[in-house]
Amino acid sequence: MLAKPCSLNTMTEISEQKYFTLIELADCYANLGRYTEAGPTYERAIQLRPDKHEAYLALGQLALQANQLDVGAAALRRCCEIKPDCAEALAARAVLHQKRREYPAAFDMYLRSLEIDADNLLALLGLFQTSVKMGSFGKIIQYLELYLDTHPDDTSVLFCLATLYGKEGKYEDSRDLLRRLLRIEPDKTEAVELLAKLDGLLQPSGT
Amino acid sequence: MIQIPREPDTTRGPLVSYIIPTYNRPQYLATAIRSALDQEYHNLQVIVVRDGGQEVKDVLDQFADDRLEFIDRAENWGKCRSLNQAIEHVRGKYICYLDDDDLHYPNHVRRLVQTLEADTDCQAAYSDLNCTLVHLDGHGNRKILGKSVVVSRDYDPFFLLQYNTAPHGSTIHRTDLLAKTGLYNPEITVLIDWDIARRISFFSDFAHLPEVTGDFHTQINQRHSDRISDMQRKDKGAFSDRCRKIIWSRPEKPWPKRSDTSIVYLLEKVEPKALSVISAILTHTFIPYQLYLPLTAEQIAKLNLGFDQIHMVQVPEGCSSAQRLDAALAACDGDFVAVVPDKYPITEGKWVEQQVWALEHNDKPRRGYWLAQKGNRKAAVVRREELAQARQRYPKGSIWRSLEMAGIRVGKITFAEAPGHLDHQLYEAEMALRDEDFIRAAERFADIQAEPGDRAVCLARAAWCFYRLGGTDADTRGLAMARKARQLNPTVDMDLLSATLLYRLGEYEKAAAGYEQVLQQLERYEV
Repeated sequence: MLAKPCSLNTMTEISEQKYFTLIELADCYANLGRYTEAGPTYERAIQLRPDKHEAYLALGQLALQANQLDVGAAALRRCCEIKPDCAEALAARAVLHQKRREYPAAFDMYLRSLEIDADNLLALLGLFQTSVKMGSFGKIIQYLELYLDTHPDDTSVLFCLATLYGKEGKYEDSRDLLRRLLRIEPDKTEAVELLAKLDGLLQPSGT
Repeated sequence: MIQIPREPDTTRGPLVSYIIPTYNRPQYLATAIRSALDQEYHNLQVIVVRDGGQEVKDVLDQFADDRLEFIDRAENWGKCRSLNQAIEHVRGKYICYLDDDDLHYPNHVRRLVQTLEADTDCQAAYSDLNCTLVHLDGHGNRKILGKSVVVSRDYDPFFLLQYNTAPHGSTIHRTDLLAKTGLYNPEITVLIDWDIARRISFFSDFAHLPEVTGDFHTQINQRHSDRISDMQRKDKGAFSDRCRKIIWSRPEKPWPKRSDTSIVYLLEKVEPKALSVISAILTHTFIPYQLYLPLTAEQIAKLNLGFDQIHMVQVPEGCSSAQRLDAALAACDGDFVAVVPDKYPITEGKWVEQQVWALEHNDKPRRGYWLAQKGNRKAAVVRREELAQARQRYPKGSIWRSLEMAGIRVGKITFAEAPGHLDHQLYEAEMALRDEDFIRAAERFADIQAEPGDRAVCLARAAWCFYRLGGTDADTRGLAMARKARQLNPTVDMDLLSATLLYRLGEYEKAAAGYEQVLQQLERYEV
């Protein structure tokens, strides 16, 4: 038996501590692939503090991973009811829509998520994929540029933006980004291929 | 009232009087009395005072010991008045205290008396106590969950002004000190041990005996706590008022161990901002002080504050700040004077205390210390006599100019001059933490060498800093710190932190086992 929980003075604090311990334990189970233990552990956390959003979010993300879309949708909806500005929950709901091929709804959720946290790479890449499906690139370019301001060496985002510039006809900008990317990651095949394609497009005619 | 009187036995060291007040806890009382009577030191007078509540005569009847005296009162007067009543019957050179739900080990009185009878000027001493964590069921039965020493701090007079490091059950003091400190104050119903220790500190230092000599009990399920002090803390406003009463206590002078500070607040108009400064001074100042307000007759008529430590000094209309200070100086008698300009913002504790302490411990003449500069408002602490002389010699200059002309050097306080070495280190670590310099904060905390209880806290803080820093190296170092802290003082917090760090290090199996263990612990604390 431990001598004293030094920062735990009230039952509320104990319940809060227990709540987060349950979530972290469930995260451990999930990382170990013990999903059948992870889910019920998140649910125990929800039972303990149904007024808090974290366990709903984690349960929703776990359900998405396991392709249990209805369970995930319910948990994430509840999470957003408790904390409407939860960027991670919005991004997870976007993934859910994407999995259901509901691209406009996914696009909207990704955008809402990025408005709260422009640094969310998952949402950014999801938005890119959804944009490609929908053929609408205006807004995504702005977010990718913003992201690159703070993460200039992120090759996955560099590639996405280069692709979009290409689709928008900004071939020179696209080539610049690809060259920048290849200085960081010279072996990125898809970038090499795209650059070759663009170089071909920009060759003066007759040569 | 007093039964079985007994002459003091002076053949085995001075007589020591135990006082055990009791109220509605007969189930624990026998253990407390037994622990007093079983002391290795025999020359005792053990006074049990029943402060109303349940009968305890049958408990007392279990002990056939002529050192035991019983004041059996049916009416509940409260702990302070009970202690005062017992003190009237004290015959010992020393007094020690024991609550009816606590206990002392057999070495308690012997070691503390040895400490005070040795070559020391101290007239009071305290030992370390185990904090015994208990779970109390609905029938009042205690189940011990664990015990550890949570405070083991050498005497630090500055620290005692803010916090009590000498809990009642660990303290012994000379009986004649009470003639100087005064008796227990019945208006204070919480932290009465801090109140008396604080008042004793005006007249004597405390000797710290770093040995564990008893247990005090604390409950994990405070909702069902039967401790009067716990109940008294529930009303936050009343609790703060009582704390302020303790801080404002001023025994009769002379004070051989404390200085007195006169705070002169040079407010210009009686208006809300100025009143908020007065309120902040009353709220945040914890050294012995009196506040002087030089005001016109009209302003005095407006301001009716009714606090003993506020003195209004009448000045004519149209006086300058310096003239108002001169008027206050003529009225005040502190060793030091804090000159506080109009609307000087005070937002937290230690706004003046460290500078006063530094001056008290600075042997050089003609020194003073600036208080934190707020905008263009300058405030400082200087010795009263030096300030008065400076003003007499250079009455026409501004306050600061006259100090300068008199050769009084006012400077900024340095870390080395501020009180409490450990506190300096802690301060540095906390400042690094505030600046989010986690690596420096962690290293500072980890470097602090202190008693095991404090060391455990510092190591725990270091572990948290490494956790905040993040990254494999920091997580690994944090884990090592958390484990060391746990060895010194096992806590759920450190187990939880260890599990989290293991998780971050990708050791999911070990982390899961750690979390499961934490959950078990937390579930035991839930009632």
